[in-house]
Amino acid sequence: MRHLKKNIFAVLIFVILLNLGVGLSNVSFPVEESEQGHDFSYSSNYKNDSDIERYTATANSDELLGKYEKSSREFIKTQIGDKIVYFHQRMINEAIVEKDFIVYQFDKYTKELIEKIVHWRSGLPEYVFLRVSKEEAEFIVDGDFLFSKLYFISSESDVFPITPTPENPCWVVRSIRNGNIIITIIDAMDSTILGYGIPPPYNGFAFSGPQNQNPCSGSWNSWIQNAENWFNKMGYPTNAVKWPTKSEIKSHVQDPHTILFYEIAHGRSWYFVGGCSNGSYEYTYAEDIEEWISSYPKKLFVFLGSCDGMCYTDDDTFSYEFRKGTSINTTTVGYCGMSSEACDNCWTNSLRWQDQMFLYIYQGHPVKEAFDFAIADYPMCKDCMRFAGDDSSIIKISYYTLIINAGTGGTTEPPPGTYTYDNGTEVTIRAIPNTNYKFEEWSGDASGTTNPLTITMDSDKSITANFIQIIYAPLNSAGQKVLNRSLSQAEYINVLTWQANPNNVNIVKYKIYQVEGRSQTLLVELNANTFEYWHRRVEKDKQYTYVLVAVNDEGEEGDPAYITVQ
Amino acid sequence: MKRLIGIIAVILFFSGLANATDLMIELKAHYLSPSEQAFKDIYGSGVMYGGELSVGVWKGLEIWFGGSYFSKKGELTYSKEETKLEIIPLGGGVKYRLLSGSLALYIGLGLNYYQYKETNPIGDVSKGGLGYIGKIGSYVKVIKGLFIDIYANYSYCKMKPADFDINIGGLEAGVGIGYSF
Repeated sequence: MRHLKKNIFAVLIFVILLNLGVGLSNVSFPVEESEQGHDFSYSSNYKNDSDIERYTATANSDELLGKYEKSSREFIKTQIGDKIVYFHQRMINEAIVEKDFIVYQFDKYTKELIEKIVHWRSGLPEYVFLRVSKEEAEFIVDGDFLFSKLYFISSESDVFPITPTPENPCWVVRSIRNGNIIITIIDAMDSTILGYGIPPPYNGFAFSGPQNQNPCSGSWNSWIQNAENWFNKMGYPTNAVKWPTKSEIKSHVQDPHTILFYEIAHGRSWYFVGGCSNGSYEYTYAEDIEEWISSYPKKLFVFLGSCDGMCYTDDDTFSYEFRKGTSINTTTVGYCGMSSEACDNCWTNSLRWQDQMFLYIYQGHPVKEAFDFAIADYPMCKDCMRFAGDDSSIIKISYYTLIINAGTGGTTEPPPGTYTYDNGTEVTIRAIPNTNYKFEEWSGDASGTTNPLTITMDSDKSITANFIQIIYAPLNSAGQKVLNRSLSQAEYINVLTWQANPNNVNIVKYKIYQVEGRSQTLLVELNANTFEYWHRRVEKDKQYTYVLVAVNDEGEEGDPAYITVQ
Repeated sequence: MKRLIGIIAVILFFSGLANATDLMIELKAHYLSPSEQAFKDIYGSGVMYGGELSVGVWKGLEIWFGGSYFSKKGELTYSKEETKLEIIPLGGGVKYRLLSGSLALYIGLGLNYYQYKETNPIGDVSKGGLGYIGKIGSYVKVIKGLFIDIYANYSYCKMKPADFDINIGGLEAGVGIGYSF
């Protein structure tokens, strides 16, 4: 069992590293190699643990691996799609060398080597001598301890952003405090807290049990999809599943990152039919939850969608066990009597009620308040829904989506795309115009011309950086006052002249304004081939100021050239 | 204008008192070289056409009445747009024949009323003004009463039709053909 756990952890690390796609030192090999991770579609395999055959292999024990690997290193052998994959995570004693690993990929059918990936840095010791024990490190951190690991942190680490990169091995201790996961990085030689790591995101879990058995069939798809959508929208990655196995339910109960839990299944306050085994219902009991969750954090929010799931909330009920017997910072809501005739009208509105409640939660209301608001909106559910837990508990919107767009003529930093940020994160976006373009303004959920722009992610946002082609001022603009006369009559003309700016394109005309005080009066529009304008009948002794601009085919005026004529 | 009519009336009065010994009618054309530089720059020189009536009043003294017409197109100084000028002098004065016979040299003086009109994109201007004219010339008898008049004039008329004080007179040299009754 212990060995299996170790293997599972190794595979998990493997998957994380592959998906991070980090670039490290590359070693030359005669076959196609890569510094990057690969799209193994691993997540789906991971969800179905039992489908993956994996075991430990060495060059001596495995003929296929032995053809290429000459060391005695242990590899995890597994099958991913049509590939046989060997993975070795570099360890120095019990210390994980972050981002150092070796992967062999073979064709499942031909057994030919497809690719070998090596990330292996030099300069690390062969052995680790620790001066700070695991227990001492765990004692240092705040909050409820979850687990700890020893790492040699990579200089390219994504999740342990410590500068400078520690040369010593570090204890990475994970704890939970005030509902937040804290990853504390402690120097394993002198117990200095070097900093904090980036925790993985919280997530949710939503499932439906079967509606019928022998054989099992049916599920409450709309309900779990609704929960899935809302959990995701709130920033807690969730995939709705039907008929999960007990082990799957257990893994989510024990996963400290799964803080939102949604079930809809046949059952009562102390059992539900979560899945199906051999065509028959598979029951999960409140006692199971009590046992599974005993060493793990309570859930922030649990929806018990069994007909009588929330009729009782004391000891040995789901509500009680998910809350671990407390009403602080934990909530449970759900049905009571939903299958009764009295709740028939509520059941027909239950999906909308649920949707409304999640909406209120998403809007920032405490769960209890959202629950009450939804009841007020659907009063027929008043006697069919129950709440238990912390009246003030709020589901923090974990992250928001930022869509950055760039108009024609430029880009942004970060580049245009869709990003997710934790709630409250300040994001700075810089608009970067191309040559002959300039930043004009922000649009969408931002406005103004400040560049770079810093926004606070307190909602989903879509922001566009708009650029405009620079229309340069005409060159060599000048003006002079000339006398134009006949024998007896005279007029003065301000003769304005200029040249086209060769950097301009699509100029269709020029505009000339007369400036008087703070006002500008359009005098004339001239076609793009005209480079002289006579302002006739001007006063002999008056000073005139003009603004000359080129105008492109979109009607945009360019930079002004000022001309003053005495 | 009243002034001009008055002057002409006085001349006619004196002519009526005298014994008219000669009456000459003449058609004339002369070349005008304006005194004003701006005139030259804008319109240049040009030909004036006109006619004259002379009456001998006493010995070699004659009274003359005449008018002429000058029209010319030019360009504005900067814009080079077209400008058109018309000058019509009308007036009269005296001549005195210094010699008699087939070659009769004369000198004369007179007053002219100048009607000035200028049209161009800057504007249209029309104005009248008085000026004077001095004459010198010679009648050349051809046959019977027919004669040719060869003459030169100097005219002067200062006026300000619009923006400038201008002299629209100048040197004139021309020839006329007439008949003496």
